[in-house]
Amino acid sequence: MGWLFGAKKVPKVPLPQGYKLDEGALRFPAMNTPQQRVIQPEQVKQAVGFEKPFSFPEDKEEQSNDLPMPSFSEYSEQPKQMSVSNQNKTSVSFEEKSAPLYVKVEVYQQILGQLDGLKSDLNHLSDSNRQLESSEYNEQNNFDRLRRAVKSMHDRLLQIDKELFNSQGD
Amino acid sequence: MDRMSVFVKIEEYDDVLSLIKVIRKRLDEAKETLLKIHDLKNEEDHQLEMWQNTLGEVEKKIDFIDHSLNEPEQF
Repeated sequence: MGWLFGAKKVPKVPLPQGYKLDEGALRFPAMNTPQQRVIQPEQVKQAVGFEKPFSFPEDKEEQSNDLPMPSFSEYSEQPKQMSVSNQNKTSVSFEEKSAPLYVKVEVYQQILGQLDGLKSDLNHLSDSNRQLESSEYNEQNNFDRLRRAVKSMHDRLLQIDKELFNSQGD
Repeated sequence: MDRMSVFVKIEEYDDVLSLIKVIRKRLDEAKETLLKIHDLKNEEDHQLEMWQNTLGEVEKKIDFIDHSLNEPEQF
């Protein structure tokens, strides 16, 4: 029992002394950051250009074709060309769709004139339709008359045939 | 001095565009129906022509029978 449970050895190196705990013991040392180096989110957005509208190559092409306020200076009398350009406009984004359209007064008057022409054309078509219906009715009547005439002819031919065969049999 | 351009503001022109689209579709349908009516009319004309030919043949046969019954010595 002498070597195993002997007297405790005292270390020769002195143990480090602990710091006394206070409020600032667990904090990072304060750094004096200059105010210019703090980048606010608004500054980031401004630097990146977040406020600017997005422009993609397709949009640029569409914008070149479909301006929100066309001048229609090259407008011609052909409604097909105008409708083609209008069909292109249907593919633009929702914001561009909901925006009002400005047309020149002269073009507006031409559009109104075309609408009047369309109305008269439709009235003309409906008159033609009425005439076609009446002619179809007459045609149907003539067909019925033709059918009756053919049936009468057929009956009389059968009667003649019967009489001729009867006379032949007699 | 040049005259200033005056513009007319069209508020809901996308509705007009959609209406024009519908009208264009109806126009295509009407064209298709008109083509079908043309085909039917051509078929009708063909049948009427056949009717005319057949009636001519019937008339010839009736004439033959009539003549052969009325003037049997010539046949």
